[in-house]
Amino acid sequence: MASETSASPLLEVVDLYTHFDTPRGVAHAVDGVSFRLERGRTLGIVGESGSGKSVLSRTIIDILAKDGSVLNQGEVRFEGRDLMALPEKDMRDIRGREIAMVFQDPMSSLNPVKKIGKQITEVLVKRLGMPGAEAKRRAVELIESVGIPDAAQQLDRFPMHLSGGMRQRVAIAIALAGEPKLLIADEPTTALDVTIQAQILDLLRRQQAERNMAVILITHDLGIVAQYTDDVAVMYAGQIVESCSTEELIRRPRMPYTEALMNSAPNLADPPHTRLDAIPGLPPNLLRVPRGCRFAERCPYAAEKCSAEMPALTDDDDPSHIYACWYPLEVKEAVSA
Amino acid sequence: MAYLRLKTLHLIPVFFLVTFASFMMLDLLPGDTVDAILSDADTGEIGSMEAREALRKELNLDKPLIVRYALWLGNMVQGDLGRSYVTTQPVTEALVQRIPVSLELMIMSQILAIAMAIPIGIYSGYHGGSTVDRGISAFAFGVLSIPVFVAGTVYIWIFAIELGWLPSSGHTDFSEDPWGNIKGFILPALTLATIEFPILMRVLRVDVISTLQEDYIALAKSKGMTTWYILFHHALRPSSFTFVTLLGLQIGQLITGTVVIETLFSIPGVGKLLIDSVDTRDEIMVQGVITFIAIVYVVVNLLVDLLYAVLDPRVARRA
Repeated sequence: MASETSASPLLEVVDLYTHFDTPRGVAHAVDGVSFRLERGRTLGIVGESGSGKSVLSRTIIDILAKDGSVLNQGEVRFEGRDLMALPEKDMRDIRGREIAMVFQDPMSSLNPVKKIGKQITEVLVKRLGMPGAEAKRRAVELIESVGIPDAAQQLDRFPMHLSGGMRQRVAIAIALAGEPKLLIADEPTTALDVTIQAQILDLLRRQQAERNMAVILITHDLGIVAQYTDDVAVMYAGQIVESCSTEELIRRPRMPYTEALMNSAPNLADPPHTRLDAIPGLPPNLLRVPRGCRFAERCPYAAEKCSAEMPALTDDDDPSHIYACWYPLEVKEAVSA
Repeated sequence: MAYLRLKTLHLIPVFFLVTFASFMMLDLLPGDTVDAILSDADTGEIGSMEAREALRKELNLDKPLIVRYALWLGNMVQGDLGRSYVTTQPVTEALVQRIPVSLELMIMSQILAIAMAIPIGIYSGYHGGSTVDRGISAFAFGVLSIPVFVAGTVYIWIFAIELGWLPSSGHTDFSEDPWGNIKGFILPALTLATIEFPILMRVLRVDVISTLQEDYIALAKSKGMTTWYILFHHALRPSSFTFVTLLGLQIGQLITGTVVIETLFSIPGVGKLLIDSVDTRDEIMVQGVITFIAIVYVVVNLLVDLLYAVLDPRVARRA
């Protein structure tokens, strides 16, 4: 809430666009996204599949293909420096050292033919300039710190020898190796067993607190957002449609899409066999985004104006809670939801 | 180890099939070995009946095919492939003389082919779809369509005749003149590499393109690794399965594929031995060479299978 007054946040994304030039047209994967993240804080980015969350994270760390099919615009300010304007060589210094990433599926994000030890030490040796023996010792510490038993023995094992949860711990150890200031976790628990999810997220939170690291937690699960984030940005069809503190979002959602997301999550208090409220319809085709509000077609409250004109992000009296909607939810109504 | 045993067992029936099939086919060829040995091209004499019968007995040619195969097989497993009908030289001795020559040619050509295919394949895959990539592909298909003897002749014309840097043909023993020996192999090896590397390059390119889509490549990028490091340390090994398979098949083929090259460059290798033996109807020699080729084929493919397990630890586990 005090965020907009501080001089330089850790990360500030300003009007970011990522479009893909495909043979079938231009896909508007990220369409004018802005947000800021302070040191040590956790920002949740929540949205359905295909809402542009992953593309956004890959744009921030700049690992999308560079074959001319990706069109970028906007600013990604990290500690005041615009990453979008950095030459590749300087950007490489940022990756791993300043910003690290944990991917969704640990079954495919670890190199299957490289030993686990090597996958950790290469960050230490190549990026921190550590001598090999020291890097090995450090790798053992890292493996221990993410809660994998027999750390020393794990160095010579391959990813195939580990379970999904253990692999994700290894992926986190890899990300932590460069001691980044910002960790982007792209759906880090989606591919895992539910029982493992909390372990991994608790581990992330513990590491974050110890290292005063900022985290962008990308997820489609509002339950995770509620439990593990300070602030949240709701994404829909490449745009941020609502953004505020997590507490505020849970208490007073203003954007009907946020409400729909909340209603579509299963609730333990419901009696068995309660029907889940799925959001009707599909997100818009990113190749042909509508002129007006992108959620209008699926919105129960939509009026004529909604599909004619795109609502800008706005706030009522609290500038830290912004939303894009012509007919925001009444505060009272939301409390009961 | 279970993997190795399984793979080795697969090879036994293959070996019997190849040797028996070649034995049978040689038997079906028109003409008579006895004629070939006893007849005198100048006088047209074909030898006396007694001499012919004696020879037939001596060579076991009076026995049924299956018995001859069994006899040959019995000797073969003891390392005796028989003696040439024409020169009376033991087949194994002839092979031992020729194998190092063919082997050197094969190794040199494979090194050259790999040295060309890997960097170009990786580069082309990394820039997949770009103008350079398409240019390389067009060039590769062009090269692919050149017959081996044409490529060889062009190289001879450029490097031996016009520039005079390398000999156009002939073979020097390594022990006599090591540099002369290597020089003699450069053009034939280059010829073989030229016609081989385009396919190797193409399969590597395709696999590199698909490997670069993998999450672990994105992870390596997010670790701040350089492109060069990612390509060679993260992407090459998982992309090399088809490449290695093809390499194995080509090595097998090269043992015989060198027939043309060895003839063109007058190199006394196994291929030349095979051609010469066919010319003189030296059946037992032909059988010996074919057996050797079959063994090489089978062993090389076993090595390729084993290499899979080295390239990807998951292979050994699956088997």
